[in-house]
Amino acid sequence: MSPETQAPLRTPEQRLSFCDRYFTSVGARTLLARPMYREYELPADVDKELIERPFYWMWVEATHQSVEPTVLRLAFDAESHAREEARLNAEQPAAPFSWSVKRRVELVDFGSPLFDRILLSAAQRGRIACVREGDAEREIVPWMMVNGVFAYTADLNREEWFSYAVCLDNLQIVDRFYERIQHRDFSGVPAPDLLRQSRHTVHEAWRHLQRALADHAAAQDDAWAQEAMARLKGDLAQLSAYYESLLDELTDEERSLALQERDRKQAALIEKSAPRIECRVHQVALVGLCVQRAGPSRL
Amino acid sequence: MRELADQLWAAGQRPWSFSISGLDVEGELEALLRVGRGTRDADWELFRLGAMARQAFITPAFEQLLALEHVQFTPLAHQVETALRVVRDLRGRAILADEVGLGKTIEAGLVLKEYLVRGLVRKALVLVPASLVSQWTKELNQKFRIHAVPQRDEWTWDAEGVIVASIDTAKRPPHAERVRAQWWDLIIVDEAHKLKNPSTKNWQLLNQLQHKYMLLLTATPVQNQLKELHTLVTLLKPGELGNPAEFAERFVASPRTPKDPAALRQTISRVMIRNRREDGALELPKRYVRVMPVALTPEERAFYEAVQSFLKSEFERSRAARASILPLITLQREICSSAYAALLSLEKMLKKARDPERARRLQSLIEQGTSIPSYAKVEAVLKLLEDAPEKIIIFTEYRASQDFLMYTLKKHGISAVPFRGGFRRGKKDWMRELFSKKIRVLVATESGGEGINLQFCHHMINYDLPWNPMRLEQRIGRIHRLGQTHACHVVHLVTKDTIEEHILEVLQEKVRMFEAVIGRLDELVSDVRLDLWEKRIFEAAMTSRDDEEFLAQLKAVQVEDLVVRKGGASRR
Repeated sequence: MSPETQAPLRTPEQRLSFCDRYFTSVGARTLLARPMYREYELPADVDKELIERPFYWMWVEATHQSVEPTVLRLAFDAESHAREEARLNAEQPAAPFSWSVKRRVELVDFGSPLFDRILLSAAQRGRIACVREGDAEREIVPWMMVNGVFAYTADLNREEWFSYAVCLDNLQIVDRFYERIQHRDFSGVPAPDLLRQSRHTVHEAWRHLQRALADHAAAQDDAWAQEAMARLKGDLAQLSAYYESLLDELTDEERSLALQERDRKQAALIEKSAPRIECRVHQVALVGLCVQRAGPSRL
Repeated sequence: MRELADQLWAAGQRPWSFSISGLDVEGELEALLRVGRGTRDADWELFRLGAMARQAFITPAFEQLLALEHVQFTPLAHQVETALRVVRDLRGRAILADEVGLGKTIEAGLVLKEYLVRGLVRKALVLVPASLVSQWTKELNQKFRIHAVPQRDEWTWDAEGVIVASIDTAKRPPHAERVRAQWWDLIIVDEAHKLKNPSTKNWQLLNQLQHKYMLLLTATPVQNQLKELHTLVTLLKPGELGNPAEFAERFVASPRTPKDPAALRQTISRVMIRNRREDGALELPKRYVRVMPVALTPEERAFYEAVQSFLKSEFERSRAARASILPLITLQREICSSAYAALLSLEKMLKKARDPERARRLQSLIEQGTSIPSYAKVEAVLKLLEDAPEKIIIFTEYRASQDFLMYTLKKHGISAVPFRGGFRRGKKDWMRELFSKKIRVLVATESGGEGINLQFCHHMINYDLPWNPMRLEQRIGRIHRLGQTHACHVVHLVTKDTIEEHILEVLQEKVRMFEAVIGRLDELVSDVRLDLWEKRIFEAAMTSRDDEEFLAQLKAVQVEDLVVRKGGASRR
């Protein structure tokens, strides 16, 4: 994703659509839908993920209480926020002290803690899938896909999204796989059904993918890492020279302490500045694509 | 690792390491194959949402401030620029030395948020004076949406996330050991001038902490001597300014004078950022400062004159005996604040007095002081409170004046809370909260005022005047600062025909003078000794025959007079 293109979920409409899809997928009921405003009733498992109150749930479960499900009232822009707050206040007057008024509608903007938790919950729940194209009669070719980010890190970092897939029939590797298939229609399928005809195991496929991911990292321009390493070497040299210059005036005991201190600070500098590329896998899926007449699979 | 880096370079190999992390792919595949997880239609929808969520959190570029779209306010341009420079150019180890009121806290919060958003910081420590723990915690949570927690007990240190703690607690057992045992991705130290001495526990604790990034916040990176700058920079980047001897050789002409200011400035800019008002870093609402002359009552006047006469004879005696004149300076300042404040010092002197004649004189002064029936300044305060209907802060230098004011306000049915340095953190928060929500007057002493933000109030009475012009600025800075939306009204109560009256006149002149000198970046290497300034005032008061001569002596004091040469003697 280039910095010029707009990152996802930066507009209120995108966030509203995301929340509608998320809450439907996790089985939450939509109690009220008004312009840029929703009320969702949470199942207990979703409640536990989105609202942090472990002691409450411990108490509920220990005492076998049946509790009312939580209702989230979410506004997606300032106008709906003010409108719905006013409506709720009219229905149920606020507390007598102005400073003790509790906000009952939460504004979901980018960066709000609740929206962060919704995103994390979606990322956690959506980490794995097994799907196929077309109905059960149609012949398919199974693929194994991994999605995630490459993180290029030294003092600062940069990340890029990746999606690699390997064909379980012929071990062909395809880059940007998810971008090519994300808008197709898929339905869930048991993994053994999908893999019944495959010539290669998922473990073989994963080994191939790991090689492809390492090759991807190696193919990138590493000027940033060269610069970072040069800076780190300079910083380490400066640190060493500093402690070296102190040693002459120290007793043996002080000298040993100073050297320990130097080693500790060296390790911290390396931790802070050493260039590294991490490939973080966030999702894995088995995907069955319909066989095309012209080739093994349609991509 | 360093050896590894050297080997890699020597062998012409790539200077980076590679790893695959994140999901346990084989474990997830097993779950797919054996348990049948992820096979519902809804799982594909969640998979697509999960991909979108992950993409939303991506860090697209090295040199971009991502924190801005996560925080709940719009920072000022100089704050954004500073935060960007810290992460991009200074690589996360920096002294933030903005002038008071320009928002060092905001800059530090932005840097912390940036690293949190980028996933480069998971565990951070914010060390602040005890009185500011709650304020920092609240601001990080509310403004920056950072889940910060105040340190509560010795187990808090082990927690993940952002911990806000008092540096005085952190350095004491059993805490110090636990703090040292942790790895900190980022450490922020507010009021970092408290780290200027490498032999203090504060400095030693910080020097031993294991960390990646570090921010030191102080408006006065150098207070007395140039070597303080070396001490601070060495915490961040040992060797950046050489060892102490090399630093002295290269940069120090005298303890307070740099050898090559341009070179020093250049070197320092690699670790320090300072924004100044005069650079247009900030535009605040107007401030209106009014002097209100107060005529002493006849009894107060008689007492004031008696104390002056006592001070003069004591000054001569101390000079002859080469004894310290500090207690006398204190008494002189107290009598300018209130008769009530002076009584405490007089009582202390009486306890120590060995000479019966001196003891009799002190006893008589005390009796005279305690028999004063009414206090002109207190009446003036009551009048001002009648005229101004809004919240007001009253500043005084002395606890005794504070107590007396509290007593008087209560007697007149005016709601007031005290605020001072000695209060515990919880009590300070409670007082501030009460003042912001339902109490009309906050009576604060100098030490209690440090670092607290009271922008919700825009009226201030200076019951007495500090002799140090920068302290007067700091007082006003409590309300006239970032976030203030109203014009600020400040009243200085000045007693007529006392040295306070003259001091104010010169003080205002000196504020401009100090701003001219200290306000520039050269203040880093500022030579100004404010303690000498206070001594000059007292000496002038004691050695002048009349007001005219006193004023002339005060005006004659120049910044250069307060500069101390190598060896400690001032240039007079």
